[in-house]
Amino acid sequence: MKHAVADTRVAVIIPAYGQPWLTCETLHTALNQIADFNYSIVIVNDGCPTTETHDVCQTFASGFPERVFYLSKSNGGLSSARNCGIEFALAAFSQLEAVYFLDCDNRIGPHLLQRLLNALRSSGPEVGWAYPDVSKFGFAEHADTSGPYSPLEHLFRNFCEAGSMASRRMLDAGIRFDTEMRQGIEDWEFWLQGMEKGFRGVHVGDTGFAYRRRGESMLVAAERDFDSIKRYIRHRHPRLYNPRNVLTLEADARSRYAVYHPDTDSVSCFTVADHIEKLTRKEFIVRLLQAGQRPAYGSCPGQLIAMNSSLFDGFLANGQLLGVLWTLECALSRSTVVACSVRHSSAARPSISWTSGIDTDKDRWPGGWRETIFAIECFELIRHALSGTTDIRGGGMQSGKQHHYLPLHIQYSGAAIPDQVDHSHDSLQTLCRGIVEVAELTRHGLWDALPLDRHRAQTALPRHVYPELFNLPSVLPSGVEQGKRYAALILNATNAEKLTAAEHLAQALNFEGFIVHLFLFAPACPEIAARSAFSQIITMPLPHLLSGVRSDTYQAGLISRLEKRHMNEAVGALATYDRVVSVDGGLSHSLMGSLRRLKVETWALLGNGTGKVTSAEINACSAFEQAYSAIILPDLETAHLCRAFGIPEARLRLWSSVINSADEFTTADIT
Amino acid sequence: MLRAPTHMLSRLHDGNPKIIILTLDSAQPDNELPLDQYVFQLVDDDHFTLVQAEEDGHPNADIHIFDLPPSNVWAFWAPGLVQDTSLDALKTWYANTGGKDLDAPIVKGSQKAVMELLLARSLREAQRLGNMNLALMRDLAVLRESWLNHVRIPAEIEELLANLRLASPRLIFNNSDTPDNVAISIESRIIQPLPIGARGLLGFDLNVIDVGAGSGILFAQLLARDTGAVLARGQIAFDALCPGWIPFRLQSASAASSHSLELHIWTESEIGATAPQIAATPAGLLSRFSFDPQANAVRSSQLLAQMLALKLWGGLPGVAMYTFEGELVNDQLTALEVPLPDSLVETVRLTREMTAPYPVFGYMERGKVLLRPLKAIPSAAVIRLPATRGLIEISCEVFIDDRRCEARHLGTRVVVTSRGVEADAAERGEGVLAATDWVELTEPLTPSRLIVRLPDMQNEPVDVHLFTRLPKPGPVPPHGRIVFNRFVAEVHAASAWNVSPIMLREP
Repeated sequence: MKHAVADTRVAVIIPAYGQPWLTCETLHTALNQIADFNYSIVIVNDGCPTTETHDVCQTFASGFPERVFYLSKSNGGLSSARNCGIEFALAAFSQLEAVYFLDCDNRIGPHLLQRLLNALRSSGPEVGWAYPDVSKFGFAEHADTSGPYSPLEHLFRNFCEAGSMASRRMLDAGIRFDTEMRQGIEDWEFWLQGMEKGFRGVHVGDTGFAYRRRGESMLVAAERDFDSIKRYIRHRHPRLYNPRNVLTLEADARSRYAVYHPDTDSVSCFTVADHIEKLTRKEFIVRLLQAGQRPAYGSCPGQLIAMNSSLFDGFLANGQLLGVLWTLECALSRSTVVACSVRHSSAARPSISWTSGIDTDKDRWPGGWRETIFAIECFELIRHALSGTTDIRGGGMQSGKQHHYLPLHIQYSGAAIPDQVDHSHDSLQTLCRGIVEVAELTRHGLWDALPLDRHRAQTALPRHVYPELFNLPSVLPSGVEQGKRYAALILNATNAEKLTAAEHLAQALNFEGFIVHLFLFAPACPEIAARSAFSQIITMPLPHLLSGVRSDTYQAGLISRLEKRHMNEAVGALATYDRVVSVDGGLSHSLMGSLRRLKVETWALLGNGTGKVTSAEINACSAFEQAYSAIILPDLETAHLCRAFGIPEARLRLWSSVINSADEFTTADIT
Repeated sequence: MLRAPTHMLSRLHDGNPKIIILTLDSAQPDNELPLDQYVFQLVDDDHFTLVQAEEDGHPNADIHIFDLPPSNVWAFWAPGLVQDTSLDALKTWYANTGGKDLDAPIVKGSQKAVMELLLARSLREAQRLGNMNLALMRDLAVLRESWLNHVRIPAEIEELLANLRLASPRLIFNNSDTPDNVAISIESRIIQPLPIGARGLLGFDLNVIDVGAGSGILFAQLLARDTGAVLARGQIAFDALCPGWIPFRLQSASAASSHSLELHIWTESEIGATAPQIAATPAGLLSRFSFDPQANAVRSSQLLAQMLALKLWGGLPGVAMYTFEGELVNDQLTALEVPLPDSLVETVRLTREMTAPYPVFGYMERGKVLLRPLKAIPSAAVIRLPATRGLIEISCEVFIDDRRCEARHLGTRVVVTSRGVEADAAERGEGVLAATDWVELTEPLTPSRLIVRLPDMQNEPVDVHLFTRLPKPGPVPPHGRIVFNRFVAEVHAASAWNVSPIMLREP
């Protein structure tokens, strides 16, 4: 049957450079496709100097003139050759639906084109490409790329091979290979372009795609330069590789926390608390056990926190949940198990105080009520549950952690009073029993014994993403409300003057459209009158509880600094805010340089809006002035003093001009 | 430099030899040339546009500016007065975009000159193809010679392979150890994804619950999903079926490399016949291996998804195990290795009480059993095996699982008895079917294999007693954690099934 070139639906683009006899094998498999549509093969000779390459390409083109087309171009690299093939296919084949990229030393199964195109055709318009499993031959290896596509995972792991099919809509959106990338891994960058334009991938199994892995190849060479290539890719995509975007993807996946509520026997999975997926305990455990067997990145959070739902709701209503979870997360990065006793008292205004050591004294608070929060990584919980040991504190220390068991205590008050019935004391044991039951029901042992490729079968953890992308342990999930900007005001202490200044500033920022969070670098936050100005109040107790604060001197002044690990956590806590304001200096100064490099707008407030600024304050601020985009001063006299300390005038702004907008808002609101 | 309508691009870049005619006007020259010819008209000093034939029917097609020269051009022919500057510009463009100098000559003048050139080129082309063919034939000859003379397996490797070939077929997957089995009728085709790849697969067992009635045939087929190729197919008449496990076997373990396999089961029968029923079992966690693909899509029914009750057997690829008729090729292949499932090992229980403030006994993950020697008398535990047809051997691995252990000569022993024999009696030799001697462990983490060969085949339940002891009475050595692992039963192949294997053959 004569092949109708004009009706070509898929173009297989094969860049050719060297390896002519392997190219024969590649072309042979490309010509053997079984498909119910017309496809063409476009060979692009990338200026290969050896005549054998030309001879092989020309011979196949002559042998299959209706199927194989041959382009010969000056050498420009793999990306350039593929782009050349794309442009040719778009121009020559008016009915083109997709292109498939096949490198000249790989092989494909006979149903590959049909299955990939079927997947694209049956997907929504957001799906831009279809990618196969990879069976590596030569040095044998099989890479299981299956599972639902995760854009979050794709930011830190390239599981979409170049041997994938790109839809016409991707190409029409102007997506092409980066011709500057001549060292390899250009396929990852290509898919990231798609992701940046809103496209997603879809996995297709059983395609028979086979990647030839040789001792020395472009991929092997690229693996040596992987770090520099990754840096280049991230530099090319600042819209993808910034903490806020990554957090948005993580929020979509709801993959940060799994909070088990022993009082309702349910699990809340989420990254940000206004985007929660509720599961029954059994549903969650099934998902958790599946996460260890098959790839589905982000389907199950990796951090489990056991907390009664009434306490969860109380923290949520009082704007304290974010801070509590963040502190538990930081503690969990140090310890296999974190136990946190909680005592609650009723008060009109919320307060919270953290101390070290769990409170086991039931008599100290007569008639009082106490419950316990536990935090543990999900896989550690499975390991413990299936090992059959009874006391979770008796196990070994998890690799990479400093403690096996870290006890903490929260003294907390608020208007929202949790149910004073404690279901929490054996919450982890309940989960463990559930895991054992569900493991038996779901035949976990049967599947666990099977030698599956589990490289990508894992629960989601911040440490998979943020250290790799930003050199941060994690980022605080501040929020991802559409169209909103987020601001953090940082205080070291909570005296009335500082709180008033923070409140005024918060009102001004609210008026500008910011959602404002108050950060306290202290183990306790007392009752705050202006609670309503802040949607969240976040205490950062660990540096104080774990001896993570030290002092330096700058021009004879004493400046507090955080130890490196605490500092990284503090930067992570603030990295997703659009604007961070140091209200009273202190520890916050030293964070601002890192935040600014992450494109966070950094402000310092001098004088707390009261007009009284000490030389010591200015001295401390001047040590970090380059880290600030704006320094807010009470008056012109202070501005002179700041200039005298070497702070450039361009950074200085007057307090009155900053809060003006808030005054207007307040007046308008009253009238 | 060259421009053409987009619908002509594929023709200009196909592999056919072609000649490009460069003209000053749009008239199609009346030439008889033995290859595809395309007329390009010079539209300004250095641009040529393809002149379309009237029969093309694309009068208003988009004009594409070529970034690359057309493929397999044998000659450029300028019959008219095209200026040299335009032809030079064409050469330069060709070299810049095509990555090499213009390899087709530009001919100015009559058709005769073109024909002479084409003849010369044809002869060169024929010679080139002849040379390529010659080189290919010599390559193949050298390849064959290298197989003959150079690809020799050293004798010691051949001996090793010969020993490997004696290895027993091994049970590599068994999902039937659950009471939740149900019977399903084979009325329509059942497509069961297999959880293993093709390489090393020797066969499978299906559990027939009801043999059906009437005249009909049950078919089984193994299909590689990636290539769509049928690897093997077998069949059995309804009246040859009997209840219980039915073995289906390849003559030798598959050497195919497909990662994804499907087992298709179906029947063909006369009207009025009743299809056989086979056992199915819950797929559990990985519902992707269920035979009902719809079950994957519905979350609530995930745990209800079913797969066939299966035993999958593996062997060394390429080694003939069975004859065409289903007889074992080699008497030494009569044994089958059946790893004890973790769910069975997990039932291990102590038979002598022992207490300590630290873990001394218990089932660990992945089929491991901890049994520390503590006292002057040996520590003891038992695993109760259900009736296993043709049981002839029990073996396991044992080791000290803590590298800090400095104690030497920690003793271990396995004793197999009839069901219900107490540990004390087993130690005294009462009711014992077979036992190992005491084996002393001297190095941490170095495993020893304990093998208990039964004097006769057992079809009844047996107890497997595990013992550990200190080298001499005294203080308990620190870190002396003895762990038993990798329990394997060996069964006699001929006794394991009621029927001879149904052979699967390549279609």
